Amino acid sequence: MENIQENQTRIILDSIADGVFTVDSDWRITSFNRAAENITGIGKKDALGRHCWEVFRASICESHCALRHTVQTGGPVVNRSIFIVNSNGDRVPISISTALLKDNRGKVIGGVETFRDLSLVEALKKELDKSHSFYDIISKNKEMQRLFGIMEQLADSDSTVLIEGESGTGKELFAKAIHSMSSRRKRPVVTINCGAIPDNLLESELFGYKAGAFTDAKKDKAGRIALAEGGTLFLDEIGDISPALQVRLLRVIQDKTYEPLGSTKTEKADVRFVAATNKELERLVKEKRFREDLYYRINVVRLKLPPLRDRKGDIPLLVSHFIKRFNELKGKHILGLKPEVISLLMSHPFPGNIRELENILDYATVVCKDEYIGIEHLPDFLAGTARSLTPPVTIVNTDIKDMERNYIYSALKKNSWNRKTTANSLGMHPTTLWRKIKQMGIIMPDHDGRSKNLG
Amino acid sequence: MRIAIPVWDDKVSPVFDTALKLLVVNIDNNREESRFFYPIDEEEITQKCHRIKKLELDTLICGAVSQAFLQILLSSGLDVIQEISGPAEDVLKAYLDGTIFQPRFLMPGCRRWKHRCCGKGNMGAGLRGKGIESRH
Repeated sequence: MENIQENQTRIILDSIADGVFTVDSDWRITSFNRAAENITGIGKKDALGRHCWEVFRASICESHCALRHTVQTGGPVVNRSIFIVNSNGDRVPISISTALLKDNRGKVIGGVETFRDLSLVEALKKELDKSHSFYDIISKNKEMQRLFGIMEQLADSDSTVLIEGESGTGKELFAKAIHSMSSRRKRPVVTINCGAIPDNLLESELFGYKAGAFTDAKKDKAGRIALAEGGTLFLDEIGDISPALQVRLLRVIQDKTYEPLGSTKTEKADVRFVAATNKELERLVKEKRFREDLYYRINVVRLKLPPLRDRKGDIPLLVSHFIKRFNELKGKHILGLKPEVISLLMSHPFPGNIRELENILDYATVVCKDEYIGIEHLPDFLAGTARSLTPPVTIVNTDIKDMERNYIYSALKKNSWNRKTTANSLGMHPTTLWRKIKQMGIIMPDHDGRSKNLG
Repeated sequence: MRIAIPVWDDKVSPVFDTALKLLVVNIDNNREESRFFYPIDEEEITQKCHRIKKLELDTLICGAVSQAFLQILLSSGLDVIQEISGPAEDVLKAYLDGTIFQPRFLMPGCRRWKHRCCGKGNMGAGLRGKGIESRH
């Protein structure tokens, strides 16, 4: 009878969408439902008997454990928002509730914690606010890691930053991440696209105006500089502004003062400037199309973002990230890509960079009704390319490991199995490549200099 | 060389992102020379990393760490051995003996491939020559 009851409880627990686990008086996990496995990425078998902090890995485990509070005081905790670090290293936002666990005689034998995955809510919030942080930048590329190091140093400084990179490389994401890492993060970050607004309008947008400054200026309007007071002003496409506006911008960056249009009063600007361009400003300076003094004023710290074609090793990570995001936003359950799609994406030059990859996957996740995205789900321009390619070999599964294996295999083949050249082209150390070849069981051909079979 | 372990109640902190204190150990010839505790109670991971950088660590041994934090730690050039749990003293001893990658020190659900030593490629004095590299 007891077994039947236990079985029923297990079925009920496994059928609910919220994660549930219980602990005994020694904080060891005694039950762990299916949703808990999904949210934490840790299997029930691995979790049972382990201390809850080793499995749950929550932001509050160390200093503000909710379950400990409940066990010590008897008072429940309801809907508290925290984050956990799942088995993939993702920060997963969740809300938790706790209660005491008692036996038939009312004796406290442990605690129960339920938790709800808030990833979707956070993703929607992010879409609405367009708020991004360092956590949204995904890369394992060496050059990108060097940039992360610079960004970390920027956290304590107020220096003007120039971000260079082709369209779609994530300049705005970096600008927002710099803001979110700075001491100004609680103040606004305001973006203005200098290339998208006609010059006259751009001036009034930036500096604001007073009533009567020009026809139809019926009342005062604050400019973006004023709106970004205390925060960060992101000047996108700065290479597109006119020489006249460059002079005014130079003054505000240099002296931190400006006058709104039609005003005689000088305003102070407590703003950090982050500028971005997809043009070579140095060349524009040489061609006298961009002021040298402004260039040096904004080029205090320069971040040059590599195009996606130079960091193709990041494609599997980015694919996984975008599929997860679009699954959340569109209520889909797509698991990954079919092998031929992986090969196609790896060989695509991505002139539109990460934005292009994002758009491709956005489209594919709308069209795809299956578990895996196939060639038929891709936009026409890519599907056309696929038809002209020969089918790939040696791929059986579609997870990230297999994508990586296939990518390394293709790169080795392309570089005539020369490990050093391949490692350079992949942006990794030859020792790392060697280790990966061994781990992934890639068999080197006989004509390789070392003539070794690995695997 | 210098290593650090985030500690909480004599244990390895479960989540490095929110760890509050580091046990810093100076090691010479696989033996502990000296140690001290170092607070890392900054909320922002960039500020935390900034503070950790000042220690000029060679290796960090920690529990779970978010990818974002790991990225920024690696960019500052230190080696990270992640998803380690257990009493800090036992973990330190195992590191010095080159036996840290035992199931008893691995967090649940941890796949062994994740226990690569990332960063400069320096496995640390305690792990060198003890066959650890070949296991990853």
